[in-house]
Amino acid sequence: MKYIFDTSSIIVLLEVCGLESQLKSFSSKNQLYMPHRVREEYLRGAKVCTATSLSLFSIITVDLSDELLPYFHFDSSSGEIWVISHVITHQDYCCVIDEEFGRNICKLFQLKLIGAIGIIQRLKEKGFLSNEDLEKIRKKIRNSHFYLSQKLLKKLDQICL
Amino acid sequence: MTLILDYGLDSPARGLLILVLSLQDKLKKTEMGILHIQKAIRYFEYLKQQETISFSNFKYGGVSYELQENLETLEECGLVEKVGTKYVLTDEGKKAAQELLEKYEEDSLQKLTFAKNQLNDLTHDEVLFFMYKLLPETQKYSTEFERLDQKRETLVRKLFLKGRINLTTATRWLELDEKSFLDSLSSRELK
Repeated sequence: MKYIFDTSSIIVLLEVCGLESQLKSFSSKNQLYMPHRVREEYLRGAKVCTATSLSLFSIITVDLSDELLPYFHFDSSSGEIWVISHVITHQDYCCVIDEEFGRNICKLFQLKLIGAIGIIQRLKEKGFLSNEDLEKIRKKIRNSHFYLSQKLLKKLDQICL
Repeated sequence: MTLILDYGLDSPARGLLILVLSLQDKLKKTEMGILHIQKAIRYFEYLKQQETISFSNFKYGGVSYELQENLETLEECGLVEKVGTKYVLTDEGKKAAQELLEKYEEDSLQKLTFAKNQLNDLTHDEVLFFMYKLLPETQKYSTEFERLDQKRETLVRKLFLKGRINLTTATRWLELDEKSFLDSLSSRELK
């Protein structure tokens, strides 16, 4: 599967949860991408930015979809508009987005969609995370200041059961 | 003859009124109050970047007498009825909506669905604030904007949490940096 990530999902997985090595294992059978715009956003705000963590992702150039612009109030500065633009024209890719608004747009265009919590679930299913790891992840996410919706936090609790 | 011709539903205002009342919102509800009808159709026009319906800036922002008059006509024709404070389609109105849906272009229907989904379950204040900020020119004769602007932090946070605006819009409307806004969410919503 090809996954294309928005900034907040990368921050949750790499910085909040510290899942660099697990994502590396996951990337042996899946392809992980980020648009240039997301890379810029990530580098601008990243607390941790090692060469290894960024090399997990292939950076791709995306053609902005004009039809998306009205939904984003004609502002193309956010990472998710670039993620969604790519998947609109490459439907074998899956958007990795956590923000509710971006997720709503994905649903409107009937695009493949997952979030950081969904990726954690896949890491669990592939055996890259133990129950102990999951409990640590749950605490890290709950204790972090990074925002995830209550719906996604509930999903995380279910995965960690 | 078709219901579209019988009731003049080929006029943009009437067609849009019937269609918007036929669509389900996020809560699977079809009924709409007058404010939400007006704002959903104005938002649809914004998404389409077209001006087929005439709107004026008034106390509640962009409002359309054209829509109001046509809604009253549809009510008199028995296609729409008022139940409490909400408008719904009658059985005849639902048949007319079906005819319209078969002829309506997919892109327009997608945008109208989005507009209703994004606005119909918002509170009165949330929907007004959203539209004032989306279309700043509609603040001009507003009797509501100043009051709403005083509680903009709460309104923007709610709109973000409900997925009606993204982080970029939220921070722009509050003139805050992303970190401060996200910190305010985590301290207020998650603790």
